[in-house]
Amino acid sequence: MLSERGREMEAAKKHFVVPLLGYPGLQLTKATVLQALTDGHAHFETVCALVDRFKPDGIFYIMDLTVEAEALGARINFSTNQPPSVAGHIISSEQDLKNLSIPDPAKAGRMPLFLRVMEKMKKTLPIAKAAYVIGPLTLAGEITGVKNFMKILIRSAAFGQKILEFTTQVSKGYARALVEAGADIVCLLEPTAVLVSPRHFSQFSKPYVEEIAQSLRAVTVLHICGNTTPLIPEMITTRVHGVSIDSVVDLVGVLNQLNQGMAVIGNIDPMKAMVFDSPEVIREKVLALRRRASAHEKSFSTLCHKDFSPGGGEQKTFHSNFILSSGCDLPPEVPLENVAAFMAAGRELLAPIS
Amino acid sequence: MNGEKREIILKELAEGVVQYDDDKVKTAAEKAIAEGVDPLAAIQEGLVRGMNTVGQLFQKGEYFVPEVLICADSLYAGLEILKPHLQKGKGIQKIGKVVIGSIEGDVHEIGKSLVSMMMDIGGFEIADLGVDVPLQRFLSEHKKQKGDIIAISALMSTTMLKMPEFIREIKKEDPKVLVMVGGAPISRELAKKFGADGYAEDAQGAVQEAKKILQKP
Repeated sequence: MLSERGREMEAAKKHFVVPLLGYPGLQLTKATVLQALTDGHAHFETVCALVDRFKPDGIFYIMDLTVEAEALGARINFSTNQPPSVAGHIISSEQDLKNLSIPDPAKAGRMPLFLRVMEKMKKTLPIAKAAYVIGPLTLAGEITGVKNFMKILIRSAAFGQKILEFTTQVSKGYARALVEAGADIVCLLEPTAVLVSPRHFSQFSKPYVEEIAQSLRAVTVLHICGNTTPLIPEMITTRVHGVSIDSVVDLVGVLNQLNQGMAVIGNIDPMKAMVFDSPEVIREKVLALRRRASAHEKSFSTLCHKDFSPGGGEQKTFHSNFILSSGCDLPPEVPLENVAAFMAAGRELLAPIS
Repeated sequence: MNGEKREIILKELAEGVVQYDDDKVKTAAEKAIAEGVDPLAAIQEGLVRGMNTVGQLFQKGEYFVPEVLICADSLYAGLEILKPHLQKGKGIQKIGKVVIGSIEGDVHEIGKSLVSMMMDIGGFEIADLGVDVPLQRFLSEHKKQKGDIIAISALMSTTMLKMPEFIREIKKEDPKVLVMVGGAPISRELAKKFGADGYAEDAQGAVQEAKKILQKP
């Protein structure tokens, strides 16, 4: 009979396996990117098909970085087979900012579509349901122009802060609505932060991310793509439950620095490995990452303040604070057998290190 | 004018760029003109030298994108003052011609703009086609410019996957042109796999790589 501590230690060896799936699911439902992002039914079917096929421990809806900017009135370029992008910037002056109001997630743009998808996910899927919401710095860049906003950070920090206070309210309102609709996890996507210094991150992203995270009754994750190595000390002291890192960052290094109660999510290369490698090589890469991580994992229960296991329940469960995932969103072209290989390698029992 | 004074002015120009101090740059540029410093030297040994330091600070992780963009603004503020004083025909020697753009479907601007800017400063003639550039635009602009290099950026994995086709078609049209690629999801290994002649991780590296593949010192 294991002691509670013993059970914790045992459980710590179990990973959540949650690849950033979404677009590859279109291969299963034969929907186009455009259909999935504009038709809630097609979107939901795609999410369900992924869960059916791969049985991950958590599932995101399909990533779309334009939802919030669109809700604010920005023009969006849609195309049939590619993720959409923001076409025009809507803020160039303080007056432009004053003219904007916080969108109502129940009405604005496609926010209602994503809310309905999340409601359906909550009703049908017996695993953790995860939502993406854009981070405040990234949204500021989307509506101001990234280049402009980068300059604003240095040349007119006060104006920059006003924009960020606004975008924080936008993301917060949307995130809260998503949690109400059933999201267990909210992942704040802050890719633009990879462009700035740790000092600027701590000034212009961190406090706003924290404000959003602290307002949510959900597990919160901060995701930044690219080489965030210089930002890691700031990211892991941001008050969220998990940091999601891209494949160029040393995951074990991050794992080593993590405080109790925090998880790292990552970081198999979504392109080099998931698109181009064979299933055998992917298996090797996943197992190698797990082996390297295994000496540094801790047990982690914060994620389990709700029990995500099928059937629910209140008992406390423990898992590793290393959540196996891809370093970034998986592109539509990832072969499905590669996703299957990733999942299987994530579940495989690791041989004890002799 | 004594050499010491000249050195001080050049140093102020370089420092002004590194410290993104527009006023310092402008004052030093005015001083250069007033004191009879060769405007070409003021540009190359002052402003451009400063920007090269900025590039190095970026590579070392001391400067980030906002700083680099602001430094470039300072450089251009100095250029505006110095350029009209350049003697006709004694302009900056151009190393080569580059047609650059973000690939079709990709609206990421910042990395491409940094590369375009650093190449411009580094002595290349640049035709920047902006973002979301279809293959035909690359081809027609290259034909028009008779360029040496086509540089393509992609920040999304989906758009990146169009690169092999772009490179194939470009080479079909003009087997001699050199193609460089860059962007977050790309690595040297992938660049090679796609058939590109050059790859760089960042803007400063792109200038070095372009010189290398053109076999210019």
